[in-house]
Amino acid sequence: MAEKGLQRLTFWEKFQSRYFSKSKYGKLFIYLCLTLWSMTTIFPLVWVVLNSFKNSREIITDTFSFPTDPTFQNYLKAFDTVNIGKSYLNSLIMSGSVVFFVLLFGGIAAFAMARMQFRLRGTLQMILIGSLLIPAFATIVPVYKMMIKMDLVNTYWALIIPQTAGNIPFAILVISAYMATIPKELEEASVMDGCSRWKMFTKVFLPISLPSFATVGTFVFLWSYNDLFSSLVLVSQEKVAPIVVLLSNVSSQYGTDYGLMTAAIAMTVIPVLIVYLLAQKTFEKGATTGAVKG
Amino acid sequence: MKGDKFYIFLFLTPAFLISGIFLYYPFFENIKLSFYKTDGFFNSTFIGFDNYIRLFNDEIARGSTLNSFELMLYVAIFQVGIALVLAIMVNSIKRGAAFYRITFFFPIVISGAAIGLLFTLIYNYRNGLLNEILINLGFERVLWLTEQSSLYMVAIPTVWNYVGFYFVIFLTAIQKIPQDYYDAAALEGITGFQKMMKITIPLILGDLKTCLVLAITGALKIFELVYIITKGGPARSSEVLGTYMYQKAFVDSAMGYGATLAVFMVVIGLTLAFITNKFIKNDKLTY
Amino acid sequence: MKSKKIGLMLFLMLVSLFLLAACSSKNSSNEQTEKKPPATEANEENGKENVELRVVTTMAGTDPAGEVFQKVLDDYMEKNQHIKIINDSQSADAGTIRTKINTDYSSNNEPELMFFFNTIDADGIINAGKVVNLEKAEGVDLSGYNSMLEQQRNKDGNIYAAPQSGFYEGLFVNKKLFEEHSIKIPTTWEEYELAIEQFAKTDIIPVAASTVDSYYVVEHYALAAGGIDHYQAKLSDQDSTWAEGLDNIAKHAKMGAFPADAATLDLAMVQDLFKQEQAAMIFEGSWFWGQLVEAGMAENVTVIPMPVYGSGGQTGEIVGGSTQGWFISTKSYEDESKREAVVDLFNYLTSEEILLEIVAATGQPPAKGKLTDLPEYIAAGHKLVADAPAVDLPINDRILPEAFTYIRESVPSIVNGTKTGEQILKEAAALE
Repeated sequence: MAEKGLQRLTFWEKFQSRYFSKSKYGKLFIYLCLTLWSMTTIFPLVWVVLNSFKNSREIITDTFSFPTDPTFQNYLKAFDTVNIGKSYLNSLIMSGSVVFFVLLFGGIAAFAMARMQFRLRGTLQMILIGSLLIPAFATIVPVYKMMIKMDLVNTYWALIIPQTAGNIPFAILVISAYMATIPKELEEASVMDGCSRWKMFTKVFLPISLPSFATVGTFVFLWSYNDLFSSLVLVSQEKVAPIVVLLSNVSSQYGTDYGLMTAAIAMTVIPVLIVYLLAQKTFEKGATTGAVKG
Repeated sequence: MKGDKFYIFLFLTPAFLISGIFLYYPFFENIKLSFYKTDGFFNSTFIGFDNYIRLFNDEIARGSTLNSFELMLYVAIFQVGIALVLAIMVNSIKRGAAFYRITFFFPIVISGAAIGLLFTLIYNYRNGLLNEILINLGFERVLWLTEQSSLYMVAIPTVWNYVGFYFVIFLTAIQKIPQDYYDAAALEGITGFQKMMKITIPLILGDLKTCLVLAITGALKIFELVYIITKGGPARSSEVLGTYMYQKAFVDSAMGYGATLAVFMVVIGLTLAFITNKFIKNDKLTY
Repeated sequence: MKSKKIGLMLFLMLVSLFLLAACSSKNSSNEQTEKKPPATEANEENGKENVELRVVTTMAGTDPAGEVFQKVLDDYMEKNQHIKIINDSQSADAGTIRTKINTDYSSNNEPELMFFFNTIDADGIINAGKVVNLEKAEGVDLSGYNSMLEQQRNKDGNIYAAPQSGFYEGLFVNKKLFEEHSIKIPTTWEEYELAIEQFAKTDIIPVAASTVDSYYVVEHYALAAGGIDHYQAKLSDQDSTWAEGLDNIAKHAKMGAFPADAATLDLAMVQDLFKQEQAAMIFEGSWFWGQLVEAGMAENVTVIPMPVYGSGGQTGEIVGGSTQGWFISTKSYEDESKREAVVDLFNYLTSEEILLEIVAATGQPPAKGKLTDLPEYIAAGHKLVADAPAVDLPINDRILPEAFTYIRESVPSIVNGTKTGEQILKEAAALE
């Protein structure tokens, strides 16, 4: 692979030095690409939001035009269907807890996987990868049965525990990949300072890996939060139902309410974007921490 | 380091304990189910390896597996590839980086149901966006979802939808590379594409590998978009393992056979991940 | 150093213990939610013991009955202060209710009352003795029902579910489009084929249909080819009229009867073609009227029976019946502290007054009494059922789900010529 890269490089060298690095066109090209891509990604959000102000029929017949006669009906219906404030709170408590437990347990496990040598490391890694493959459909019935036995159905724990279990492997893999490339000198320096492994984790590796924790946290939050399937089985009753359960109310044999669907999606998207924006702040902080130590 | 054994045990136990009870044990139950002909609840007959024999003679399962492999290829190449390029591009600019970081994330947060509906309304023959454009330009309508094209047509939204995911992971990884590396490289006249090949990519190889593993495992589980946009059709030409397994377990109440498909998915995924791991050897690169 | 190590270990162990403890101890779970009123605690007002009943139904989502149902429950709780009802309804479309119910029943967590499909879906629950035989149950009132009650009778001769309403399926036609193109609304198979031929020449799609979600198409084409006698055949018979019906779908597809993308359309998109007046006919069920009213076109639409050409059958025979009903779980019936309340709630929900109140929201034919002040088009549908020489359930309610899905999803393969109806039936029968 390396040789191939070098060969290609000679061609690219000419190409890029001519068009990119030395000229303004390079930057322009980059901005052009990025802007084009961002247009495709902004489009669906705009589409959802615009359509949430249309009635169900218009969403199908005139889906790609501006709402001619904007209506708040869909949002009113959404407010009617579920207790919005309570559902947001439920979502926040459950998904927040999942993120907390995943980062806590996944973080320390990732540290062990990335920075310590032991015999079963390879096997554990394979088990972790294997767990990424387990479809939620395959585990839901046994999990539901366990929750019934423990009398936890329709409590927050019913969702928090299995989602934590399901997301830990992802967290370990991503965080440990990030930690694996942190310079060995840092580790050695902290040993010299008389740090225990725990201290090394909290004082050195955790701060440096913060961006990775933020990334994983964002996705875990997103997945936990958007998990309609598990939510419907484990926490469907109103007192604990998360906001995403709104989406189960948009259809039946009597038809699909696309208006309610788009409004529900617009409403569910907002908190995730806020979480992402907050996590982005950590990215920047993390990046500077990384730079300072160099 | 002295006393490491204790810490390894301490650090790994909580994670594997929770996953063990609430992920591996349920999956073990699933493996058990795969030896039964059962609706999963009241009717169960032990049939040994019959479900597995059925799997190997099941034309639909074979087609779905091949389709899943094809999607996996697109996902591994384009989803991860585009994400990597976009991450390097965003990392190289100063102005507007925050804007791109936020907007690239949008498709992931919107639930699959909406993305699926969006593309259904784009591809629809009679009233879809693409055909409306063609009609307005004076062309005939085109049937977008045919037996030949359907897999590509679901690959497009599938790939596009999750580029942002790998983009964020790559960007996080790239930003940990200390600036002095680039400064030193700049002194030697290494810039642009060369910089990417010689510094950026080698330094994030571990993360790249993780992303590939995530892409391979993720591709096997692809379900929602295909289910909504093509229903696996026309004539099962875009059926994938995820949709087939869902159908068996939840539409058809054939939990036993559905469980067999789930086991099959895990086995294929592990094999491929194992190969990927061997293929990309990273020698524990640190700065 | 050492003490720190131990402190840290204690901390981590505590956190994981906390998690696990939360899983196993019932007390901590109650902290999370409101404390359930224990069933034994006496209600101060009337001296009756407090009872909590969980009711699972499919009346949720966009089902218009959902709202009325909740109101009816609220009224009941108002009148019976000692009874608390938890409405655990979920739309059948959400895809989880079947799993949930089966898991509940097999894990000793069944709801006290359930309104669910009394079809092959409930076989497991019934055979395991998890629901009571209503005719033998003390205090249960089954009077006043029309023939829909008999339709609920199980193979073993018992009645486990009390119906609420019925439904019918048929060919919904857009009268306006037929008039505009001077095409005759079909009453025979020949006229049906002629209508397809004539609409195919226009910009209008003759029949809005999905060949992958082809439930209604398969049923009606089988009915047309064989009449009700053959329609009632078992899958294992591999009835030749079923195969003929499947082949007819392919034949009509070649005539341009269906949308070009019929093999990937879902039912909602198909319904939309009809509602946008881009298609002249559609196979649907009586639940479709609500959407037509919303689209403002119900007056232009009428529902007719599928023309039957097969020998032995006659046009007018329809697919329909009553497939959902109220079940009482054996566990709650045998629980002395709950029996009275459960039976009372059951009788309340199935009383003529309440039943009609719920059914009125949907416009379906009720299982008791009569709906009044019906719009003409809905009344016409009810008449269709009343006049039908024979009515039978959809095929997918009585054959193995895997086999039906196989038939339904193979229709596109018949249309593209890779398989024949006969082959598909044979392969489907092999799954049983």
